Amino acid sequence: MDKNELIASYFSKTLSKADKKVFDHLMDTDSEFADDVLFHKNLKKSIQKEEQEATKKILQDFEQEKSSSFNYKKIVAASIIVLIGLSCFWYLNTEKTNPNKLFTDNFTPYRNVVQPIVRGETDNDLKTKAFVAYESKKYNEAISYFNEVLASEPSNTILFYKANALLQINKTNDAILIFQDNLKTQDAFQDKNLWYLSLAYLKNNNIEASKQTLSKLLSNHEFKKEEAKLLFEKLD
Amino acid sequence: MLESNLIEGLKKGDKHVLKHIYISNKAAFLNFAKKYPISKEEIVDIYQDSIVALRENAINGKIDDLKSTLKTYLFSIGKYMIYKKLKQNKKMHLVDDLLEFETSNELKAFNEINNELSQEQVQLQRAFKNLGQKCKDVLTLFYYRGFNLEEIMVELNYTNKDVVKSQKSRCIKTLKTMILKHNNG
Repeated sequence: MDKNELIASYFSKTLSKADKKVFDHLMDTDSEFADDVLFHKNLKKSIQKEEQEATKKILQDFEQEKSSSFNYKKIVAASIIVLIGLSCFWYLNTEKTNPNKLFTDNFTPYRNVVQPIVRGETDNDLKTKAFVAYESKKYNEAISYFNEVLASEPSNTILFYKANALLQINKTNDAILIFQDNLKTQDAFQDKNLWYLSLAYLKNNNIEASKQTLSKLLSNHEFKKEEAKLLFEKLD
Repeated sequence: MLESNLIEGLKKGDKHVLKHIYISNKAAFLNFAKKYPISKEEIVDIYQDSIVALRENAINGKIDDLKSTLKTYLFSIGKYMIYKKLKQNKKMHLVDDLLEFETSNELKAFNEINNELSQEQVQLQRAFKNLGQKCKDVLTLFYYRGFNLEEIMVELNYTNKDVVKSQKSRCIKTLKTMILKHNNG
């Protein structure tokens, strides 16, 4: 066993009796060896500190999550502003614009219809947390909660919201994969998946795919019919 | 969740379990700590340190054969930390109580949190932060979680033990170079 191995075994507490003797002897006689052991001891200590600080940081984040409660009024006000903005756009702006602008003009993350959130509610349920984060536009946080929900309960609906959040943080390709996958199963969110998929394609500048998806939506569904028509015309 | 599952989750660094333990005991802990002359912020801080210590003791296998419930154990860590704080704040006259704690069996091997690091250790921690994620993972598993090379190989999906071994010595070499550069520059 060379010196490095001796030190490694010392730290993983796997030194045999004979090796322990060699180890102790080296500690007494070989100052370079003793220094090296000290280095490893210090390293162990500093990693311990690093881990303690990281854990503490996680706990402090839990604490913050709990205190930042969801502001219902703000969301309603913001939604109204968005609605007014969008209507103005549809009525006033009929000229052809670039795909990115069309995307931002048309895209608002689909509203939460899954987990009703009551103001002041202190539910610790993961799904509620996910949607509180989603509604408060904390999309990164929402995504990690959605992932946790999905780990225990696969659901196309949750995936749909995750994809919406992904679009918000510019992970367009990931979002597209989810919408495409979701469309393989028939469910109540079929039309919504189509609409958001078309917007995601738009965001990626893939106009042809966006148009194809819009026409599927228009021919089979009622959801966002007016908006889809307008958008389709602009892309044409 | 079963207590043994909780301990297992703590060892693995499962954030879910950490959160579960943190949230499910917090109100009771705050209530229990109310009787001491410490501010709420300090109590929350102590509560967090207690959970950090709990996790560390789980990792070190010190509570594998826990006789009490996890909650009781957590609270005794917390109480110990409160006493220490009171002593620091010079509001503590019950020194005997603290002594009694220090010799109690359950807490005998309890790791102190917030120990000051030596200058070398501070330097090492700083250098460690600058390592790549792979190195951080290998070294943390080895030095903090007490994994041997084979366990690290399985945990991090390495192809064989020798790869882990050379990865580990590369990381240590990098650390040493960083420290050397820092000291010479």
